[in-house]
Amino acid sequence: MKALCWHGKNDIRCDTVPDPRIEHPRDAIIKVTACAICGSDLHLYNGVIPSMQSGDILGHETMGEVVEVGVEVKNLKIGDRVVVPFTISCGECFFCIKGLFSSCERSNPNRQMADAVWGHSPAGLFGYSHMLGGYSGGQAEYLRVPFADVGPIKVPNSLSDDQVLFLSDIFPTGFMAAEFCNPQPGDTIAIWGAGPVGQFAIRSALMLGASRVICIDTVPERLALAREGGAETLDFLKDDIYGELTERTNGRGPDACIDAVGTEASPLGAVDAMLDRVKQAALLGTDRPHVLRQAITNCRNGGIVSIVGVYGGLLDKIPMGAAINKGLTFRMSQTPVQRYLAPLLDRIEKGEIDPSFVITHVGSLEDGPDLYRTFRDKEDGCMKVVLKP
Amino acid sequence: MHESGAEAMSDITVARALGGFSLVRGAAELMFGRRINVALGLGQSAALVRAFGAREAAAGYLARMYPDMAGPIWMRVAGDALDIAVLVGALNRRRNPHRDATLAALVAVLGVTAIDIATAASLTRRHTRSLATARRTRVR
Repeated sequence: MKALCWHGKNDIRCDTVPDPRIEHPRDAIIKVTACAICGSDLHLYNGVIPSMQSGDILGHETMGEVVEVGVEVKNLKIGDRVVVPFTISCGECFFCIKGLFSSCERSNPNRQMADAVWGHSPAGLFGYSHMLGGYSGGQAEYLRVPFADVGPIKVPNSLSDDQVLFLSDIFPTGFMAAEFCNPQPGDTIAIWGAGPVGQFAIRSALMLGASRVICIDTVPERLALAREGGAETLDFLKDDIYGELTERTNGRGPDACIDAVGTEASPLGAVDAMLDRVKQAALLGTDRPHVLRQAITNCRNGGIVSIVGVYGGLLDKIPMGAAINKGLTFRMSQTPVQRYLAPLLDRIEKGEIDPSFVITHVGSLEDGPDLYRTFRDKEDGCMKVVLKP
Repeated sequence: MHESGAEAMSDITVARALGGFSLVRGAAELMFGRRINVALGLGQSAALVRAFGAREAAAGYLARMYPDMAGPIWMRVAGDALDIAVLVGALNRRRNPHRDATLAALVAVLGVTAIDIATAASLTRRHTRSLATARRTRVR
């Protein structure tokens, strides 16, 4: 089959690789009908995530048709149309039983690597390094889905692939980011990052009852889409973010701040952001947490900082003094997608949201290497790439 | 394997290798500027050789950081032109006791320049193709 494979920094190729096969009775094989390039795939593309190996198949936003099931998979049958969560979860362990699917303690076969780096391993993920399981990803013609009796959700034929594909990651992630903020009428939520997750966070925050959302980015078309979604916008290269947020919230600051950017914040517009870039380039730092610093500094006293942008290592110069003295609450997680699938599918079916609004480019797997670059460089108004094998 | 992917692969791999080569060569010129100046019969100041080393190392670093970008490799091509000018000058210097070494260096630089130009041109084409793909696949 064809698949997009990682071969080093900025080097992704559409290779021919062996088809996946059932390896465990709880596996299923799906024929991929649509997959997407995620912002967090760019961290792999840019070589900032360790433990990748040449030839690894990328992709964790995938859906398709079931073509084979293991003998223990009773809830799926051949021909079912399913969306596959990016988190791989057994459904039976201590964490899965609590609904903390992204912390599954049985789905990462390389957990000792993650234990060594993070203390305790989270769940395995599709196509996201050997430290997180070394699972082949879904930017391919076929995908092996472990624990298929727990993860994939069947979707009705009345909804198109474009409408349901993002249940696999970015819609639940944006929704969780907003949910972390516990939005109440009258609340103002500031969201850094108007990429796809930020866009879903905007719409989710408003769906959940926030009165105002202020989105911070600098890419004009992304800011325009944020405004279409009901947000006010600030351009971090033009506006005084602290001054504007303070003024727009009666001098108190936003009730909650969402970091939907993560480890590769733009180096432009602030001295600390530029220093982060220099340190990372000189191998003196692992992450570029400028947005997290801003979220902490700008959040009102007693507010909530919600982190869904991906970080991987040791973050430098985080203003914990501000966080403690202001009494901030931090909430963060890889998304336990399985928990959100049914309720968010319900919202899509009811017409509360059509997630396809973020799609700007639709290509084939062969277009993947070119579109990775376009997405990274934010060229041609690229917001979200969907690939149809 | 998809053809464009294969081409991009070789370009990026070569760019990364050229970047590594630049880093090593730049470091050598920075550390051993005087000796290189004498050994190749350049007849320049050691400071100039070190400056070339700094330029080379910078190009190498950028090529390693951004291996799919043509800019750092075009930067190397510009550096190659300067190297060639200095080596040709040294070769034409009547009292150059190391003419053979100068000639060997010139041949080597010309060879690397050819690789640099081919790689930079290919990476430039790759970017053009990426943009064309983006325009063709744009839906909104």
